Amino acid sequence: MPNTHDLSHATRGHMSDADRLHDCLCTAKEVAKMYANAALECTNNGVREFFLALHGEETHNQEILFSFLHTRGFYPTQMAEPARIREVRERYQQLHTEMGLADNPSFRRYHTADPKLPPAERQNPASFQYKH
Amino acid sequence: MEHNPRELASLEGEHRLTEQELLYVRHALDAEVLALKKSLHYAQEMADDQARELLREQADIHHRRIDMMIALLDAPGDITKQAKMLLQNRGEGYRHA
Repeated sequence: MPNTHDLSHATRGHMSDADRLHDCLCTAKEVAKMYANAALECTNNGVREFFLALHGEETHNQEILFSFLHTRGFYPTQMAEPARIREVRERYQQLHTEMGLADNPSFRRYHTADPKLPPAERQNPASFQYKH
Repeated sequence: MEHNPRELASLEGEHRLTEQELLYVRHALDAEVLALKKSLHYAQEMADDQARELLREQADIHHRRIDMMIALLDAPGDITKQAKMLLQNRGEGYRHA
């Protein structure tokens, strides 16, 4: 039979199991952010994909750690009140109307999102060239 | 023999790690080594069996990533190919990539 203790049990001044898991959860969040930043700063597409894959994996780890604590009641979360949700929705519906966004947005794929050549090669303006 | 701009960029070493990428690999290695040590240490101290098992699994994940990043730094040529190969072979074989 598995040894399932109360995760919150800790003697004075010492860490409980829940404390240790919370610490690992904080680490997982920071590591996931670091991989996202790393991907954003990449020049090489392969290295970017490498960091993005690790970001995805670490996000999944974070979810597992969170669920472990959450399902055992050591990471309580609070549901938003329906009135608060309505309030936010009305605020942005009003802004949406004020901006005149009545028409549906186009679903066409923008050329800029998938250029045939990198912008520097395609345009190569004089201002883009290095001055020695 | 003429080369297009992409081929020229490739010949000039575009497919090596940049300084910025190397910096992030170093940060990642530091973070993964610390996370590995922490997971192993905490796993030993855990009273709950399931929590201990969870942390051992986390330790294995950090260990595997450290191996992957070291293999990335060992890339003999094109870093793009090496990075993609490491992702494809995740969990096996990258030590001998």
